[in-house]
Amino acid sequence: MTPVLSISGLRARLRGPDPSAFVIDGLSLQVNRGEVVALVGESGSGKTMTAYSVLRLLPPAIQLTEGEIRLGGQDVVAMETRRLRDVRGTLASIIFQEPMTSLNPLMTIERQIAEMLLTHGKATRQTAPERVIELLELVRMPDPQTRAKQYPHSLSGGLRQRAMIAMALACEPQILIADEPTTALDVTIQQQVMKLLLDLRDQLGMAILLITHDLGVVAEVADRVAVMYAGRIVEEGPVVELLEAPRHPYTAGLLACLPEGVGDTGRLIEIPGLPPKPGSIPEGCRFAPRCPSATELCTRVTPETRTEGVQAFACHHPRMPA
Amino acid sequence: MTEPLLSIRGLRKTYATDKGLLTAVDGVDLTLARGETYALAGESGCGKSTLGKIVAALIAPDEGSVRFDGQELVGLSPARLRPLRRRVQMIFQDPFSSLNPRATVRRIIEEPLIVHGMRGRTERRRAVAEMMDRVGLRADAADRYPHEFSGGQRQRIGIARALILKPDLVVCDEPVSALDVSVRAQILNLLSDLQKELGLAYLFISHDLSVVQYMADKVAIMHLGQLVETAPRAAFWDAPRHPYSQALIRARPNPDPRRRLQDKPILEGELPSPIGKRQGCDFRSRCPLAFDRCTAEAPRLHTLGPAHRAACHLVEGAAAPSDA
Ligand SMILES: Nc1ncnc2c1ncn2[C@@H]1O[C@H](COP(=O)(O)OP(=O)(O)OP(=O)(O)O)[C@@H](O)[C@H]1O
Ligand SMILES: Nc1ncnc2c1ncn2[C@@H]1O[C@H](COP(=O)(O)OP(=O)(O)OP(=O)(O)O)[C@@H](O)[C@H]1O
Ligand code: SF4
Ligand SMILES: [Mg+2]
Ligand SMILES: [Mg+2]
Repeated sequence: MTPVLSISGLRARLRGPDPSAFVIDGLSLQVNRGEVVALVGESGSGKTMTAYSVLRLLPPAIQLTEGEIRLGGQDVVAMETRRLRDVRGTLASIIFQEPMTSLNPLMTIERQIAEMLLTHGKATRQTAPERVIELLELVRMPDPQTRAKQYPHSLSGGLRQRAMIAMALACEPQILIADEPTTALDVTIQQQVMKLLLDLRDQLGMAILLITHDLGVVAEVADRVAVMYAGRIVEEGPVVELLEAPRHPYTAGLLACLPEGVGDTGRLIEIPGLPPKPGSIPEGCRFAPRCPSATELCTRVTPETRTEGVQAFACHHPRMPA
Repeated sequence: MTEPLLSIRGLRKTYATDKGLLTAVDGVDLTLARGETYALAGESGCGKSTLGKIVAALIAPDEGSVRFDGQELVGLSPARLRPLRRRVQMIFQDPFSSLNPRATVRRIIEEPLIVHGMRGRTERRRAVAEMMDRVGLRADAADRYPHEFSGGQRQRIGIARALILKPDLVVCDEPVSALDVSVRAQILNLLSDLQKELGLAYLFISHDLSVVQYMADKVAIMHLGQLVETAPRAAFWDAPRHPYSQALIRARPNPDPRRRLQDKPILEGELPSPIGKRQGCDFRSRCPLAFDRCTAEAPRLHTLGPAHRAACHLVEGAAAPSDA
């Protein structure tokens, strides 16, 4: 079966004098129908730029230089703008961390969702209002009739996030890309929103690419996980194996430095230093300067991604399998 | 018993909004000992920062008392407050907006010394250099500006500024919420080390229960301006008594891939508005255990053991006399 989303060898760089300032540097990833794949990594690792690439929404400062992206088998990189507009919303849609960046403050919720339906020919002027209410009910918006008539600023953070999901789902996309959809929300609301996304996945069979830096959320909802570091995926695998027996030292480090990783009196494990910036990626393994297992080989030779069992990882000295 | 470092009684703070009177802090009592970490947790908007700012004497309450080391802070004249202010400092969530962008790192850290009229220039420089070293900032950072630093480094600058006056109490308002996990561990370790070395007490505000569990000797859970439970560490984690604390602990995302969201009970329902008068228990619209009395009557905080209190009608029968 063709994956819903397939990215291979993706590279994107900052425009400007430095030809080596890659923000995405050889990234490959597949998402299958109905699957929840989590893309995790620290700030600046390139998660959002990866999401933007998929819908060709990269900011002007960043240029896609290499690689292939297919949505439902169709080549996104070569696609003309008209076709692209169709694809956005119908094949794939994206929800952003801060709902106000994609909700128009001057339009009621109803009107925004209706416009989405109308542009993609998913409803007529007559049928749109009813469909909007259906969508708001689908995302379990309390009192949808009233909420539909309101402007985004009069909704709480959690309700705005729901309105945004309703809009993203308006055209029944095959894949929903959710970029930190709950980071700004309280745990209790966060869980309501995530549960909603999972229910919608079950109901509509849509796939979800969930971008997050929260391994707690990943453990709760993901089927598969890809860990990103400085523009590259360093480890990928099913959620249970990856979190219980990470092979890459960075994945292991991310888990170990969580407060859950220590006993009652222990100290937290630290990953020393900071991730490198685009343009100053070190030779060899990009994690080597912070890695407890690094050897001389690591500072010279870039590790290839290899697969053992269900996990794939890019490391010269992987940790022991489970 | 020696006098506690901090003792808060009947604290209230309201804000006038265009929709009516908003009660941000609603009758809070809390006692904090020297060298202790008291965590304050709860959902966004429940009043944590407001309470923290009142303790740091950055804003005044409408009612109530804040005694610091035996002295009442509320209603004190600025001149009398000043020597006490030195002893209570604050660290903020957002290291990006809480540092003056036009001042060098040295100047930022030195500022409190100048404000409090401390020492000559060379002495101040030495104090700044020592503090920078202590929080893990390199000496060559002194002449640079905040925007040249990462989030974690900026938080180190904020910590150095807060500690330069050698306070007894530091209000930490979400000090690691804006940081990545790898950097968060660095800062939490630093805060624990400094606490041990300098004998600091922390009022540690965080909405992240994992961080609370790691840092806190005692935990207070806040809900719409009120404390619904306070407890020593062990009692809180092993035997939380308020349904809201229980729900928060159960719901906590935790990196165990065998505890899936679809199998977890989650809180449904909406929070009441903090604006205007409320009746009954504020948690009842989301409480799985709510019954008639919860609609009619607001529960009081019942004492359940040493420093353990919960505000729920269901614990009333179990409540112990306060000397328990
Ligand atoms: N509009 C832009 N112009 C220039 N550089 C950018 C722009 N947006 C992002 N970058 C750079 O691209 C890199 C990857 O950024 P990206 O936003 O994808 O990271 P991220 O993993 O989503 O981080 P976060 O967790 O903070 O959202 C970073 O180095 C960032 O500084
Ligand atoms: N200056 C102000 N004017 C009006 N309302 C305010 C003001 N400051 C805070 N509030 C309100 O008081 C309540 C408590 O706010 P506070 O910032 O103390 O909450 P918090 O628990 O720190 O929330 P968060 O976790 O989001 O930081 C909120 O409803 C907030 O909107
Ligand atoms: S390749 Fe070497 S430096 Fe890189 S993660 Fe593996 S052990 Fe560490
Ligand atoms: Mg991002
Ligand atoms: Mg706050």
